[in-house]
Amino acid sequence: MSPLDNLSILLVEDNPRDAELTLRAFRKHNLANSVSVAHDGVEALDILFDPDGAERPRVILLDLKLPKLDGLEVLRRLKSDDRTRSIPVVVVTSSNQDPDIKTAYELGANSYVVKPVDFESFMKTMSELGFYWLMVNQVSA
Amino acid sequence: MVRHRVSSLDSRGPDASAGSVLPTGDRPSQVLPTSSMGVFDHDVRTNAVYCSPEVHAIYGWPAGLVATLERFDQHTHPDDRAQRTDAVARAHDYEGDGRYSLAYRIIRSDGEIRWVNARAQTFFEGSGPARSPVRVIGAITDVTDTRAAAALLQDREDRLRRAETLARMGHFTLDSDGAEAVWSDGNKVLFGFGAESNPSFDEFFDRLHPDDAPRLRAAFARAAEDGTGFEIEFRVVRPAGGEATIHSLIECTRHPLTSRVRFFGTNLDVTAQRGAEAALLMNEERLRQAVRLGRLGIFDHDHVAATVFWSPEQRQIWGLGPGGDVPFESTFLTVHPDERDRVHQAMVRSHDPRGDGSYELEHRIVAADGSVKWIHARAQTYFEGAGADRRPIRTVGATADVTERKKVEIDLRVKDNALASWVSGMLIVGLDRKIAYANPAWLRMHGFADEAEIIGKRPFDFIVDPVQHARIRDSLYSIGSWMGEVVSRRSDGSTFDAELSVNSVTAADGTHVAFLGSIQDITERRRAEAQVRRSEAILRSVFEASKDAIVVTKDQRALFANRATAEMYGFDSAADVEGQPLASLVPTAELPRVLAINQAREEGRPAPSSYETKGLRRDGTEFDAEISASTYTINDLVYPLVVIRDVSARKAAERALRESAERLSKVFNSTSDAQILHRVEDDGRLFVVSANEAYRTVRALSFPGAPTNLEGRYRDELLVEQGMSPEQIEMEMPAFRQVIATRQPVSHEIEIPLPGGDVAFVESHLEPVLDPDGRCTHVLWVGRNITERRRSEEAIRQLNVELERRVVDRTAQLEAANHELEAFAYSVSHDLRAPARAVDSYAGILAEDYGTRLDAEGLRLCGVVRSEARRMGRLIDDLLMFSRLGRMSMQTVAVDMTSLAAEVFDELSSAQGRTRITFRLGTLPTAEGDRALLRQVWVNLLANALKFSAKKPVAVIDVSGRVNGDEVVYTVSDNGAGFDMAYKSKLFGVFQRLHTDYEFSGTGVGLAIVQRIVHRHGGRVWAEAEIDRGAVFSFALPAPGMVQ
Repeated sequence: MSPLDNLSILLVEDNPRDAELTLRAFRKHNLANSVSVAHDGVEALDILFDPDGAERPRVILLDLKLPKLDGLEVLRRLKSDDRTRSIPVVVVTSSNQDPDIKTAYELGANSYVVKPVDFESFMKTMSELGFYWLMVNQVSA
Repeated sequence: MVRHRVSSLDSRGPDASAGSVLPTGDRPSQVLPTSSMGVFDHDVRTNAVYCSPEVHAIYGWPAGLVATLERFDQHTHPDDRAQRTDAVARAHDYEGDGRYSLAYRIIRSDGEIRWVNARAQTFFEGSGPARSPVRVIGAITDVTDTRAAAALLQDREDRLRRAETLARMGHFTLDSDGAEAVWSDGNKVLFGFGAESNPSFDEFFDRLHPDDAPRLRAAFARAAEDGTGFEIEFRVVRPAGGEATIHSLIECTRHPLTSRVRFFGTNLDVTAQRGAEAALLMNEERLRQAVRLGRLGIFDHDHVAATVFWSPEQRQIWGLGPGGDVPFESTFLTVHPDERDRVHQAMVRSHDPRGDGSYELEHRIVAADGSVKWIHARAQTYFEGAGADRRPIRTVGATADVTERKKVEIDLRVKDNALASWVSGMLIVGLDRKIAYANPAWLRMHGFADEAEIIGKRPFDFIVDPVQHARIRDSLYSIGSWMGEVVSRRSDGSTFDAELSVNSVTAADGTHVAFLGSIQDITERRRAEAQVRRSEAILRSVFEASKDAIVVTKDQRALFANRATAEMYGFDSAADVEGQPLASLVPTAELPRVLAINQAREEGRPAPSSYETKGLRRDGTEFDAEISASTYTINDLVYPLVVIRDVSARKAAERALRESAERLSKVFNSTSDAQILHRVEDDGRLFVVSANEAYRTVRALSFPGAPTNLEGRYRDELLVEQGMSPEQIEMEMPAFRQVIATRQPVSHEIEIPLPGGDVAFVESHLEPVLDPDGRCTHVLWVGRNITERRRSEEAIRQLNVELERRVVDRTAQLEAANHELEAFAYSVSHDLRAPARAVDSYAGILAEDYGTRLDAEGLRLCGVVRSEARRMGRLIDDLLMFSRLGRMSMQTVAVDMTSLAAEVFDELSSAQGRTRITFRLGTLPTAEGDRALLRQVWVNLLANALKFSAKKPVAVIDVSGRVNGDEVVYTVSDNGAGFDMAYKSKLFGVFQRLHTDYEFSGTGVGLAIVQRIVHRHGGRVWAEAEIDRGAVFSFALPAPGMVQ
């Protein structure tokens, strides 16, 4: 598969509503060729480290408040593992608390986005995100 | 002419009568024993001479030698022969009385020259020119000894007389103005006063012979001027009529203190000396006469015939007339009653046939005229027969009247005793410069026992310094006397100081006869003088060095004063004080008393020896004085002496002390603090002088059994009674010692154990009390029971600790609660966001995807759902922010409020896309605070301003700010809807809205957030509005630099 072909997004989101909204946003702008959703951190890691055929998405959208394994912990693992370090991770979360922001960046998050509360803003933010990270941002092979 | 039966006798009895004139039987065998009296019998017609053996003895002839006239002549000393021949011739002269008496020298057979006294009577026959001597009977006495004795007697008499003359010495001391005169008793006698009398100087002078007085006065005057001594002789007329010649040696000294001239004189009565010659001659004559006359009485007692023959001389001795027989018995009765036994015994012995019949005795008799005489009698009794038949037949004897001699002897003895007992050593040195006589005192002084040891020695042997020998010698030969001090040598070689006076003794014609030395051991005197000088020196230095004024007074006048007196009374020198009357030194008020006391002292009456009075200084000021009075006696004169001490300072100090003591006492006893005044003893012990009521009370309450007497005891005793151990008692001692040493008060807290185990806490304050010299002599202990206070303090402390703890706990609790709350708020708001989003979003999706199938109502309903969801979201955000504000840490920096406000406004207005806004932004003072929070304040306030003025055609928003003292004030005003001021208090409450959501949407949290932020900065927020006219919101922050 060529990098150009890889337009996948891994969305790590435990809230199905938020997940649906996000997907709707991507779909609206034809960005979601392939969006994988992991509903918790463990699942995300399984997908990324699957020995049988790990996926290598173009960008990971990571929520922080996850059951089982916390989002920050997932982030740490991703960024400390050679296999996944170079995959851009965008933290997308409701929290606009500075400690979370600081820690995320320290752990190596590539971006931090706060989920807007209202529908329109949410849709706009998501689509901008998607567009940027899939179209604008370059990744290595 | 009366024929007297007088016979010369042959000592050896009848057989030895060869050559004698008369037959043996007629010759009374009366022999004078080997005394120096011999009897001779010269028959003129036959020219035979019969001598008694004594004559032989006198002439030194052998017993058998026949005495002849030629022999007598031969043995007469050639010088005396002529004299003797004449005397004999005269005796034989028929015109004379036939008496012969002569003293002349003979030359004995052995060549010795002796003096004899021959006395004889020539008997005549016939009358007229035919009168011719027939017999001469006489006696010869060897008077060599007597003569020698007489000469010695004379010599001794002379010596004695001279000594006596010189003993009649007088001494005197005299001041040149006659003020002080001291006469020795001897001097008084010289002038004819009794030794006990007390004549004045004038009385002495009156006795001077008128011719001599002027001369004497002149001599004294001269000596007073030039201070030199002199010698003078003058006569004194004694009242008894006698005149005496006085030889006077005067010496001068100047008195060391007063510079007056003082005379020391020695008077010698030289009258006797002058008359001694005459007396001497007279005596010699008398003696010569006595010898010539012999005063030899001859008696002859015939035992057989019982008759007694007395020669006229004998009768003369007894004071009997020439005629009449002398009854034998009565002769015995003339013996002096005291002598009768002695005489009787001697007579009986001499009449005893077994003895040799000799008799020699000196005894007294009572003459017919009642006078007592001394006689020297010699007699010889002749015996007849042999063995038991031996009996006295005749006693022949001679008597000499020795009364004069005896008197002299007695006188001699008396005077010798006088001379002997005299204290001064007397030495007589003859012309040969050798010692002729030394009295017992001299012998004693020089350590000799017997006169014989020094007779003939040289007097200078006893004077140590050879230089003095020359001086003395020179003086004696120039002026005939010397007086001075010498160092004398004793027999054992030791020395002593002595005062020697040597005078030359001259005869009446001025020829020098001997030297008389009078010596006194002055060792003691020297010692006493030195002592006196020492004590005088000491006294003088004490007198002058004394800081106390010392004054000797007389007649109420200051006589002597020391320097301190001058200083005390303000005079320039002590001399200025001397002579001042006491009245000028004592204030008028005190004068009567002081004078009375002084007078009493001078008269020897009792008077106080110390008293207080006042002194009057020269400048008229007075001072308190303390007087010590006594007396000083010189020469029987009493001088009152006072020591004056200026006690003004002491009195003032005493007064001040009394006043302060009274004050202290009041304070002492009225205070409620326990006080004890201690006196500091030399050994450091603390002596309780007094304790106040408060202390007593406390002690009685706390220690009921302790003794209640406190004064006069020691601190440690009192504390022991309170049950304190030695360590506890010692506890406060360092503080006491510190106070005493540094003279600074010390305060500290101490624990006093109470009976029952409790402890009282006492705040003790030690205050030093200083004496005028600045020494700490007393310490005042003040104690305050602070047990209660301590307890309260302790309780408070505990309480504080408790409070602290509680505060800490509460704070912890609060913090914990805060944390919980925060976590809660965070969690809640965070978790609420998602559903809010979901509701809004799904409603939106519904509208998007199924909008066509909905009618207007349906769409409206969707819209409502959506707007409510969005509102919920805003609320959640605001709540989240509000909850964060409380605990968020602030980062205080300087904030440029102007740019911040501008930035926020731009953001808000552009986001809203409004255009009809007039925005006026003034220059805002810099604030100090958390930038993010302050930003939020601007956001909220400006958003409000924009929101509430949105309905106006043109929104006018003014932002200004100013410095107001220690605050910076910012104001946001708008011309919007305003609010009802009645509800001002609700303005900043959470969720409090003054408008419906319909009017203005809002959560009601915005202003609450603004208030919270401003309060966190230490500022305040307020607002004013008018409905429809606009609102003014202001907030003030602490000025930069004032933020804490």
